Amino acid sequence: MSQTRPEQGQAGAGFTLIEVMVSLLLFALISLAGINLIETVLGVQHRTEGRAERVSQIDRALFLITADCEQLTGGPLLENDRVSLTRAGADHQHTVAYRFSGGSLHRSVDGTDREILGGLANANWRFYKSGKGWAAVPSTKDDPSRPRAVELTATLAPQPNAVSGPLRRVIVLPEVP
Amino acid sequence: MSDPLATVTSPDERGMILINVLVIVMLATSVLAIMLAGQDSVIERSLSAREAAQAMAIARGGELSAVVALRRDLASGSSSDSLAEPWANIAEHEQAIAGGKFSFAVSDAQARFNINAVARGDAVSSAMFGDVAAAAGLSPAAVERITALLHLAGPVDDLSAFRTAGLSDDELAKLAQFCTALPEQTSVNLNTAPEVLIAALANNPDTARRLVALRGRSGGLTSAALSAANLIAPIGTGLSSDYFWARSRVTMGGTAQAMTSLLHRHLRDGRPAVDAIRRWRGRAPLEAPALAR
Repeated sequence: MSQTRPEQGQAGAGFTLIEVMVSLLLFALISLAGINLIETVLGVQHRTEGRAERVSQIDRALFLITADCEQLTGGPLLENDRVSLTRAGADHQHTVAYRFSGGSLHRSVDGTDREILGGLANANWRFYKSGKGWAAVPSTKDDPSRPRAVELTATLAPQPNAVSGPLRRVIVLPEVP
Repeated sequence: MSDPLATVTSPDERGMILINVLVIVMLATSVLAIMLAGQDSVIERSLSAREAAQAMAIARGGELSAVVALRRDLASGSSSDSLAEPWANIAEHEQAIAGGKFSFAVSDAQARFNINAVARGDAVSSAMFGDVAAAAGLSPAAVERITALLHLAGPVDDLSAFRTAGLSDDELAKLAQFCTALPEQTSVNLNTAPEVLIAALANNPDTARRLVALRGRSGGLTSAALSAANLIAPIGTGLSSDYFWARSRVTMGGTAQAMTSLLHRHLRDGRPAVDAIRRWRGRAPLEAPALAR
């Protein structure tokens, strides 16, 4: 039988070596550009995700601390570098304590301890009293009154792709009845 | 310019390159889409944190307007506090604000019997509490448990403290109808107290009815109006208040924040001052009056 295949006889029905090489080269160039593009996109994602995550961590920690201090019913007390206080709740009062250890700030509520903010170089508390200014202790034997405000100063340790620097929050406490 | 591909590639091959390019573009696009979705959740989270902070600031603003209204009321020198006064009428209900809604109300904390009076241990206060508790529908056993705890542990910060005395939620809710816990000895304000409570305190429903009718007619009771009407205020009652509740509820986007503050009004160095002495975020304590009217 002498049946010819349709592609035979047409010019360009096959590929020459040169054609294949050139097309491979073109594929390679395009792939390289594509990979670069994807890499850039992934890099940007990695950097921004870390930052946004860190900012929301800081936001959350400050929100908790502010909520605790604004609802304070007793304290604050400073014992062994722990700042403790009692806080109002709809069902019962809660005991809240803050401590700084191993580069992170921990908050314990009714005995359950949890890290609320890591990556800190330090964290310090100060307490304000009318007429006396800021002091490192909330109350002394001579003056057991409640401070008017609490200040938290922390330093965010330098980390790659994350915000760093000082962090300060001042919270006015409820008055003593 | 001639097409450089045309010299070395056939039309079929150019189609292949096009497919190759399209595949890479598709890959890049899907990575980008995944990234955007990931960013979206982070943005969503910081947005809700921002909304919460904003809502809380607005709630604090509500508290501040209560503070100002109450201070102004004391500065105006009126000797009685009634619901006809401006401070009681600055409430907002589901008021539309930029990005959400705002509800707010100021109410009198001395409209209820201060249960800490029982901690003094005198017979009059205990008898008064007995009458109030009976009006609230509490059993004598519950009254006994509450009295025992107050005698033992002294004044309480809020009514939820009686949970430790074994009171059920139902009993606490009944107690909260007419009772509250305030840090000082206070009297019940006849201008704001409910009729049932006045009747229990006066031990006389008729007196209570006449007092309530008089306050409805005159807008607010004064000692002059009481003596003119030949009415005697029951023991443990007064016509003014030092303690108030300020409640706000703010809805911002998908976030709702509520704040309840107990305010104390007094004179500091001869000048009127109003301080927030206690705050609750979220759920309010039992004794705080409901916000919605």
